[in-house]
Amino acid sequence: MPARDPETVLPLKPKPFLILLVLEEEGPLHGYAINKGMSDRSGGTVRMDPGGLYRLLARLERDGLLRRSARPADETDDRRQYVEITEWGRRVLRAEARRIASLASMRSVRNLARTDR
Amino acid sequence: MSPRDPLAVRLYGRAVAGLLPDPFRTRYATGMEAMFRDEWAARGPIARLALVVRAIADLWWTAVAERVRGQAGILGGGGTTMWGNGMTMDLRTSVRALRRAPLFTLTAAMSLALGFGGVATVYALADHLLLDPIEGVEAPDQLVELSTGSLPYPVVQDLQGESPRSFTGIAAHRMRTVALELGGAVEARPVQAGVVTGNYFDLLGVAPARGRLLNPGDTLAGADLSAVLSHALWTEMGSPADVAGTDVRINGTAFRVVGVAPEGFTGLRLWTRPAVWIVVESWPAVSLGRTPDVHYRGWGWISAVARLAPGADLATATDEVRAASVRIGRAHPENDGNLKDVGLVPSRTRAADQGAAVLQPLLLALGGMSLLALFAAAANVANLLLARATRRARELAMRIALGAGRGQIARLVAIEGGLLVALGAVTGVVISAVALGLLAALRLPGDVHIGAAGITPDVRIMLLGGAILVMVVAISALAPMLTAIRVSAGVAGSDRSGGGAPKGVRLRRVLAGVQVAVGVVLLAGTLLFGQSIVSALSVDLGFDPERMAVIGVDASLFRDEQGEAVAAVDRLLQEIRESPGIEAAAWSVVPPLSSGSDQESFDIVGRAWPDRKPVVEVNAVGGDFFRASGIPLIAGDASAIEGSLAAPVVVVNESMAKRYWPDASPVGAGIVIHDMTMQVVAVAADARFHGFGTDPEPTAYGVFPAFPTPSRSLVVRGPGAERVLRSVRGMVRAVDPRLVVTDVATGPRLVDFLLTPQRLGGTVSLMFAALALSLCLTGVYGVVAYGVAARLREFGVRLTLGAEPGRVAREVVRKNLAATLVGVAVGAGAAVALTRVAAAYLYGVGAGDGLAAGLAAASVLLMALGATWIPARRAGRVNPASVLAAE
Repeated sequence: MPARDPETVLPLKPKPFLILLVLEEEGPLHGYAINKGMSDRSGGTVRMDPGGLYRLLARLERDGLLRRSARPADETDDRRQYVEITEWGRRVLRAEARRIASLASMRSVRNLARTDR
Repeated sequence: MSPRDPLAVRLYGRAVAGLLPDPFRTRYATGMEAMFRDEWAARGPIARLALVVRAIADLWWTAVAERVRGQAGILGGGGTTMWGNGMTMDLRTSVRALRRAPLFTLTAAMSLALGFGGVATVYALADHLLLDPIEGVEAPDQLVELSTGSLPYPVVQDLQGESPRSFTGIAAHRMRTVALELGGAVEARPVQAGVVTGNYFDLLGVAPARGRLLNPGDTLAGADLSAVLSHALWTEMGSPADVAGTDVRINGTAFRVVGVAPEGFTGLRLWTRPAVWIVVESWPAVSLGRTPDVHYRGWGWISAVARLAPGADLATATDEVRAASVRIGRAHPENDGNLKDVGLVPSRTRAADQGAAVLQPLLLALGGMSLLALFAAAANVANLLLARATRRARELAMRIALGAGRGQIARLVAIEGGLLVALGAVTGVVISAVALGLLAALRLPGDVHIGAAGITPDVRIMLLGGAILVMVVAISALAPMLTAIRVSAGVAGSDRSGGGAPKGVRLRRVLAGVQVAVGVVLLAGTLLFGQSIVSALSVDLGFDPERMAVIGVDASLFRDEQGEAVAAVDRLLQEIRESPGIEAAAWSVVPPLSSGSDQESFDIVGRAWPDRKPVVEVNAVGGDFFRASGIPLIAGDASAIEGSLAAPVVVVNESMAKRYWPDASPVGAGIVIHDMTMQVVAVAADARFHGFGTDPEPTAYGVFPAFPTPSRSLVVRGPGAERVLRSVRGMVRAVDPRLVVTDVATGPRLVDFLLTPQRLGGTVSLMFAALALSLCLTGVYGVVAYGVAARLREFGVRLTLGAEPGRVAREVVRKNLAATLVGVAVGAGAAVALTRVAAAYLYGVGAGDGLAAGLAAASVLLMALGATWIPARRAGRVNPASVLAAE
């Protein structure tokens, strides 16, 4: 899978994108912290329930975008499960960020966004 | 899952483990649970409620989606689905259809869920109480209990000596409360001890988890005092591997721990879980002379259990025990009556246990109500599906025209029903888990503690409940399915054609009638519980539970220094009396509102009895007991009891005075109990000491120093009573740490406690009744509204031709009323029958009591009339012009 060109799997949906973004910026995290990171970055508009989040994590893991990671040394709770972004995940994330950025830099897109509703 | 987590988190963990498919569950369940716990911890109460609601939907969806989507990732293609394409399409169509009608979906699913949850809960309880074999015991099929009263230990030994051929052995057991100190423990605490014969564990075929269990060697004279710990206690101690050989203290006597019982083995009784077991022969070292000698033939206290020999049958075995009992009676005339009418009760399960009997009426009520609710829910679902099928007649006809087969149409209805079942079942599982959690925390009068029975939701029961649900919905979907098929065969659209009730309405009226009947029964059930509570609360107890508190203390650790114990209790009482807001403090052996009682035979000086001596309840009391418990004195003066320890005086109650001194005052008379002559100094008013359900018995109150008992209750009165409860443990430690506080409760709390079954039953039935009533009203309303809507054109024509609007509306009511009336009548009949059954169990409800049934029938009739009248009125208000124009 990592051999593939990340461009071929784009675009990512918003939630997977946010998850990868949070993991890239904050390092290995458990479910609640990921959810909080997503909520913070989206201004509270994205908030997931455990089943939905873990289903998504499972699918991202199957696609090789993230993997299970060891618990950090300072984690006292042995029930929290940590995941971290993989190299392939990082590449896909960057490709998606580039795609969004290039979209957002189009003048017509900016104009559209400025008009009310 | 950790036992320290909040209940919601534990339930969530259980649901995750039960619902999600592997391998998803194995990999992610722990993480999901941790996340839920973190979310829970981060929220306030209201937000938590929202979290739970969302989590239920989320779990349900995750469980379904993980099964259907299988191993797919998010990046393009590769998804495998469980079902073929057509099925997936139908599923999507159905999901969409259900989401478009959220009210329909919610009502249907919730009603199924409540019915299912109730049934699953009751089955889980019944399964455990009646069907589960006793855990940790070898071949429980061969076990029988001897159904006699409690036996003197020598009689058990006689029976063992007779060694009836049908048995491989006979053992005996009894629970006793003792004060237990573990090695290095901070404080002694009251626990249950199993006092058993040496062959008990051997006979039951129990294998030790550590060390060894008790055996006949422990009963020999000169043997060490040995104790076996329960697995739960051992776990609580931190599961030390080298526990055998250590010491524990039972009522202050050192016992050598020889081993640990296996996990799950909790003895043969339902509600009591012994923490330790000791042999009968070591009981004297624990009781220290405060019970009769275990070899005394006049003291019946122990229960016998036996194992049938292979091939032995119950009838022969019973005959052998009876024959043995005759021989024992001949050798020991005082034991002649002990084994009279002995029977053998198979004890593979605990169904024969008294504890199960206490719960049976409650189970019966709960089971009946949940079945009725399920029934109402099924009628409701059938009604709703039928209504939808008819409403969708045109859509279905269109599908047929486009080439859909009848089978496909039927499948669509079936899938819709199936989705409702799934939604209802999953929510029902949650409801049942919550209900079991709540029940487990409950304590009922009669020492019932359901939590102690260790009941957990069980996959088998869920499957059983699910099967019932599928059947219910399959049956209720049958009619709509047939309608759909008939409709598809070319009668679609015929609804608009003529007068009279359109197709399907008749069936829907019958279904609404069924719901009305169920509504009446459930409402009557609720009213019966309410009636019972009201009449219980209006009973004059004869004493005042308000501003009263009861504190149980055990003085076993004083061992043979009971004189010191009495002094310590007196010091404690003095300290309590000096607390602010305390008016009186006293002790008694039988506290108010308890189930305990103590009976003794007595004589009256100067009187002879023709036959046997009469028996009275005796209650040993001290201090200003009558002020503290709020029992007024009618005659005489009780101060002699307050002052001295050994004053040979008694106070009798009104019932005793009336029965034995009908023409004179008993004050001044002498009575003899246990060879001790005592003078009657006062008469106290009657009190219902054991609660509303009991009549006052002839009772004698006195100090009775002749029979010391290590456990007493302190009765405290005054506005500060509740505060004393909070500080009493500290006071006890300061006065003498050998006193052990066993139980504390305020008077009102004790009253509440006695009413727990009624309140529980009332709450549950109110819930079911509210559900059934709302179902029945929406059902009635729906049928009438639908009938009216289908006949709008006809009404329009009639009104144009000059029909009176009121008459049209009344006619609609009349046509729809028949089913409601029949429903109410059937429901009322069932409610009367219910009352007859309930009268046996509910205090204050008479068998011929028609109040609840009548009230329920009247109110349901009234409500149903309203639900009929509102849509019927529309029939008379049709604007003819607009209806005809719409054509």
